[in-house]
Amino acid sequence: MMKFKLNGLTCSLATAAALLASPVAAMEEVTIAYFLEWPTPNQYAQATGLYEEAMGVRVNWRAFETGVQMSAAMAGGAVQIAFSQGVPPFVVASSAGMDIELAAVAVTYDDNDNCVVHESTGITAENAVELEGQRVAVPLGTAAHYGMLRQLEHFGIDPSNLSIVDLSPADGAAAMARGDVAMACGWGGGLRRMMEYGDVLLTGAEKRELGIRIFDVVSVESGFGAAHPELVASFLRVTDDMNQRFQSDREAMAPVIAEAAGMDMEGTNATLDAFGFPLIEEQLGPEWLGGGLQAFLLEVAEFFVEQGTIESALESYEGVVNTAYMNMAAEM
Amino acid sequence: MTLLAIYVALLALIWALTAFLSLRIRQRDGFTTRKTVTFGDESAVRPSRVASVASVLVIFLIWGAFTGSAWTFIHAPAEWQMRPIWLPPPENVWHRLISIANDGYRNFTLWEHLSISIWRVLAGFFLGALVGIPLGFAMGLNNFLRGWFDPIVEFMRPVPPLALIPLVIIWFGIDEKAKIILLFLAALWIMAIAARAGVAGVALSKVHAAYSLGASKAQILRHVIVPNALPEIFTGARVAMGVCWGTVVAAELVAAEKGAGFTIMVASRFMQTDIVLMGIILIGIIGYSIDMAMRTAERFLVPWKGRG
Repeated sequence: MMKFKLNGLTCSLATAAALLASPVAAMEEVTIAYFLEWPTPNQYAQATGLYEEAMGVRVNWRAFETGVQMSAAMAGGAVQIAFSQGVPPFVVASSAGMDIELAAVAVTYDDNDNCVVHESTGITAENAVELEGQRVAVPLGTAAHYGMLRQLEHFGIDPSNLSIVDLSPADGAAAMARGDVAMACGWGGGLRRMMEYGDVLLTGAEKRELGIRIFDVVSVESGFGAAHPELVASFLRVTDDMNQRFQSDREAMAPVIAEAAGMDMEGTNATLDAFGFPLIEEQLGPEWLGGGLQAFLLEVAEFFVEQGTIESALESYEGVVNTAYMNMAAEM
Repeated sequence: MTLLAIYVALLALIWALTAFLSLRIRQRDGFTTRKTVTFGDESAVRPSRVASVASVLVIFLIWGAFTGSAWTFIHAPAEWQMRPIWLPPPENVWHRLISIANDGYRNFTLWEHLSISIWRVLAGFFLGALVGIPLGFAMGLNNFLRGWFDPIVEFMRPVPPLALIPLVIIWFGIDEKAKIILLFLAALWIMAIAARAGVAGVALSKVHAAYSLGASKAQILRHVIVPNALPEIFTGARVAMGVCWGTVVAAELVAAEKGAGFTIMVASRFMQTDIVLMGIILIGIIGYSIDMAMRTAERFLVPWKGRG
């Protein structure tokens, strides 16, 4: 118990949130972190209370701005499950030795996370080197940041020759509209607004060919996961049910999802079209939890070490990916 | 809770210790030492230097003891030790300071990060004072101008500068200009209100005395009002400087590529808690030094403060 209080106290440096929320002992409620404007089928369950029904506890949903804040909140014990945390924040947290586990893949979105170049610059994939010396807006430490660095590497551009400013996708879109930046990177609504002023360098398919995979994960605070694996598994079960149902029943679910995501129907549909939701069988296959995912995490971590953004990578990321929850969910 | 108990215990212990030791050391002779009762007499309270030094040492001791620092001789039990990603030991922070001072962080040296923040604060504060002080004087001396500016100043004063960040980005972009405007807005209202309060605080008897000696309006302003308002303005300047430091960190969250606040925010994204702590400590030290400098300046420039 003491450990948690101390953790909460120090963590207040970062989040100021945690002290009173000391968790784990009696599990009457679970707090789940999610993003607004990030529509996923499981928000149908979020809105209709299906999670409470299946898990048998009260479920609190807390909206976050970035996956980094999700890690901080999990560290403080205020959040037990993060739905749709980006891969880079997860890699950063697990590499720093945080007690955090990857339980599943939440959503894949190669086409919904990209860098847009302002049309006035006349820069395309052919003359991308001309970006050197220009100003670029990117939310640092996110999947967009990783994607940008990998694209720059592909075009042979040294990031230190760019003036990189830290802006959230929405602010990046505003800066682009004002013509303050030559390129902006981001996702979701911000990315769609950026596209009004320019175009991408590489499409999602072209990025995939380069091995740039963009997806979000379901991460779990390890202590909570160890104490209540059945809660995590039933969370994943309901999520998978929603993903399955979405394939056949999208018409009925979309308005509920839009409402829960805080978006209009048009934006929701555009975003959902760019999203992929792999089902349990696929996730347990070799491309994901069967080994591909762990290898990709190591790749990302080593890339970050090379770039000097983190100190060191773990030797292997097999230890921070826990497939037990997905296996349990598959049985349910 | 245990931490608090330990802290209070240490405070009491050192207090008792210094009280015991100071029995032998005579205080400097003076009016205050001759007072028989001093409790409740704020002018008789002098900060004990010993206590200040001990206070800093105790914080370092507790910090070291709970993080397994090699620098402290005493350590908390292992299950209470904090892991470095929560709270790194002081030597990590120190080594990080050295390495960043030598190699820089995210393409800029430590000095570049700090100097850009200091420059932003000073520029914003200076512009705020330049506009705010005349504005405050105008409001303190003229009916029409008081009426005209009162609603604006009173409306803007409680609006936190952070709430203006989205507007500042849309209106002024993400350049240096935008950040300085934000700091200008943070300092402006504080300085205006301090100047107005300074004017209001001038003893009417002095103004009347100067008039009866034949002073013109300009002479009243120059020789009576300004000198008497200066102490209030200095107090306002110290408050404004503090608010500016708070705001610069937030201003650098948005679209910065260097700065002390930027360093802290980016380090937190990558769980580099030692850099976060380093940034906080450096900002604290700089803010404290600026405040000390202003107190010294106040002593030299306004020696008449608090004397009628």
